[in-house]
Amino acid sequence: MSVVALRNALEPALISALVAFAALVAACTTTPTRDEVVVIIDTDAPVPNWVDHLNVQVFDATGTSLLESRDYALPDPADWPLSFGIHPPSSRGAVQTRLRIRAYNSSRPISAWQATVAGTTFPPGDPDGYDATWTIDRVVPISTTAGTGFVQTRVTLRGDCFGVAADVATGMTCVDAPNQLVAAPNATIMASSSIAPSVVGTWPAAQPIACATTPHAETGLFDEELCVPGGAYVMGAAADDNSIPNAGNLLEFPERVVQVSPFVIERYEVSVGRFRAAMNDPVNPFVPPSEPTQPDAPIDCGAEFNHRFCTWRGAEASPDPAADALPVNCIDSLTAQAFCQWEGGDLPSEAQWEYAATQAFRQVKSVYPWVGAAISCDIAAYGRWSVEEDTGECGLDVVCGPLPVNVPFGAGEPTHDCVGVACVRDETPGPDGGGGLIGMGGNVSEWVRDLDVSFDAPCWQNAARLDPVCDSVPGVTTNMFRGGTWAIAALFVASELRTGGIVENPELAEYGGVGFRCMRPGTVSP
Amino acid sequence: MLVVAGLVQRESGRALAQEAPSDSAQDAGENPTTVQARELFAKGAALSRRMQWAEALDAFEQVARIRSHPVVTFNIAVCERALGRYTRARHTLAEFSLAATGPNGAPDVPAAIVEDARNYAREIDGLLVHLHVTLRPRDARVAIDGRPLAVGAPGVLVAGLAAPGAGEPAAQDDFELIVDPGAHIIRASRDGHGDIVLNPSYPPGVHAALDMQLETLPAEIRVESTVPGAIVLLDGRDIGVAPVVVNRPAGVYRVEVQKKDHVTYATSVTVDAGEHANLTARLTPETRPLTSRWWFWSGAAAVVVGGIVATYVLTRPTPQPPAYQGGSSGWVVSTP
Repeated sequence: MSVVALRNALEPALISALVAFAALVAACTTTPTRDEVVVIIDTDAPVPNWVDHLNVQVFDATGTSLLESRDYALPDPADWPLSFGIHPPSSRGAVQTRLRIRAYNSSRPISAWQATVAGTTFPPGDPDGYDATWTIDRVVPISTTAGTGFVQTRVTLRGDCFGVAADVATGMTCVDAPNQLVAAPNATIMASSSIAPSVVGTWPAAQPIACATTPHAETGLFDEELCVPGGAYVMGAAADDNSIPNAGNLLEFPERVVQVSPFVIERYEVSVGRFRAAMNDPVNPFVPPSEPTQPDAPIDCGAEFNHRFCTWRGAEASPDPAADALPVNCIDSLTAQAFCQWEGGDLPSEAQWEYAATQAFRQVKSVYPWVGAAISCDIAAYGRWSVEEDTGECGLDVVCGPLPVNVPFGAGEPTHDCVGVACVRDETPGPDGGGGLIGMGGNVSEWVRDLDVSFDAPCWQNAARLDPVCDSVPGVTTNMFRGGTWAIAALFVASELRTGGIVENPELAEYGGVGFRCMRPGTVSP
Repeated sequence: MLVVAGLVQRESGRALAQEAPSDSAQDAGENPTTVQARELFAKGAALSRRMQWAEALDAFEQVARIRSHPVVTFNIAVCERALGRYTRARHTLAEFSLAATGPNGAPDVPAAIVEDARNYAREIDGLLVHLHVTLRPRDARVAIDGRPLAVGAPGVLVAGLAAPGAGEPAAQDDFELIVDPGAHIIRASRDGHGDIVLNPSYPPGVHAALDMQLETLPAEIRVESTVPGAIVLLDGRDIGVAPVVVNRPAGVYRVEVQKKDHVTYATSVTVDAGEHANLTARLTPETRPLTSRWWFWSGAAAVVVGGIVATYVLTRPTPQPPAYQGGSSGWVVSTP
């Protein structure tokens, strides 16, 4: 046999041997696998303004026995999504478990009062110790069969589920619809792959909705308007919320997630000059249901109680730039609302008023209608009530004493010896606030459209999340009003505070503490 | 001075102080809540005459819940002052000033009462203790005598006003604190830090400094095992038999739990200062590997004899399954 013939005879055998060897090596180098479910947890809520912590509890399949739990601080959007692994007792087997996953806001711990009501105290990392309104609570059953290898499932905690408590035992949970509990669907198991980017901050309700309405410009009557972009926020306050100095009357409790459409609101409270101009309109004069009360004594610091702080001087009064710039007060809510409707708008709802004051122009909801927790006499007109009958000093019993308080709305020279609504100017946006609304913190309180009922009344409990308003309750005829006044102490300036019931006592309404501003619906940018 | 002849009653929305109740008024069908307020007011006045200030205070507070009135507020302040609760009394007197001469009601409160309130306020202002507090870290929770602090003027916190409860963050690292004179229990706490508990006593009217700097605590790692006698390794070092608790500085640690004939439990744990991490190692019996069987090596030897290639292939170590993935957190949970 020649060499060539020998080569031809051996070559197929050699190739076959190499192929067999390769197949043998490949077979022998196959790596054994494990069964494991990687759970990927994400949220569409804004981080960290709405949530910054995540708590995961792993239960048995019935949800009755807690196996393990972890609490994670995830204050950076880049921290999301977070993932962890679940596996059967041995390397191969089925995974049968139930998860309870909660995203919550660590800057909103429940108060000592609420803990007392709950009958326990909560250690750090226990999400039960935080405000449930700021919590997304989700139950997720996981069920796999043996031999699936590495698989994964993705759970997205939806902002629509803020404030809806899940029940791990019954498996009832909110998934993606506001205020709706459903039987928790089994987690969708997918083949293991690279983890998709986070959807943090994409919750539709929290997206600022640009206001496309063109606001009216200033005409010299303090009638400039501002466009308020739409968005979502938590309205009201936790019970006994210690971030609010005047805790305790519970009118602001319970909180609720509210979505607000874009609207247009007036920069200033309605002024005396503007109200008079409306009554004297040559084409369509405004006829008030009841005219504001006029003062019955000169403004001074020592007189007995009377109507001296009323700013209205009648429809026939002569123009006076300083007096006409004052906010009109000593007015009832029906007349205020009639004025706004005559202008084509309405009084703001409480949801709109609080949103404009505390959230619309800021990343984080504020206590006062400016950025930061500080209150000072030069950014809000409050605490100007005098108790010194002889000296005439203003507001000696509160923090703002005789101050370089500016004259109304910036017109004229500062003065040091005045009291009452006639000597105030309120720059409520604060040094770095934004928005430009004037007088939300102090000056005069402002009538709103809603009636004087608690947030736990059916009218509020049944209200829609989008633009809620409570303006029709059988037997209730008095409106709420919002914001501090020139007379009130610092304790009462916080914008979440609610006050009402004044109409049933007309004398109180006439001390000069309540005025109003108007709003009209906005349009959305296409 | 306590106002004992006043009575809370609202008529036509206006608050009035009236003389003590008469039978004729009740016979005339007076509002039941007004009658109740009248009785409680009389009870409070009687108790105060007997110097039973705490009981009198309780009675007046009940009246205030039924019918708010400046005279009742004034009497509450008098009781609080008599009980040495000066911060509360000062706060209540401020409320009285607003209600009596301010916009909310403006009732006909006698000038003598207003003058008394003013004198009490001046007296109390001279008794209150002013502390300049240095607090580190600034978000430590502070409670005095079992109550969180209340916010007063800007930069000023006040003890004794808030309802009893756990401490709340002061949110300021340097602030003025107003407390009653006398002995107090001051507690400052924060996660990851050791508590500070002080028991100072201050004479009336003193201005003093209060320095509270909390020390950072180590983290605690507790490891348990579902199987007794398992050895726990922390970063490769034997730290004992589970259950075991160790304190370590904050950081990332590798935890292994080993037991003969069981699959080793291994995970990493990240702990912050003061944090308590609890791990439960679920150890499962180990399946004896193929390489431990006598016939495996006998067969392997036979194969070696059969050829170099087969020997190479068959004598390779049995590949181990890959480690559990655990995701971005590194946390792996074993389910039953």
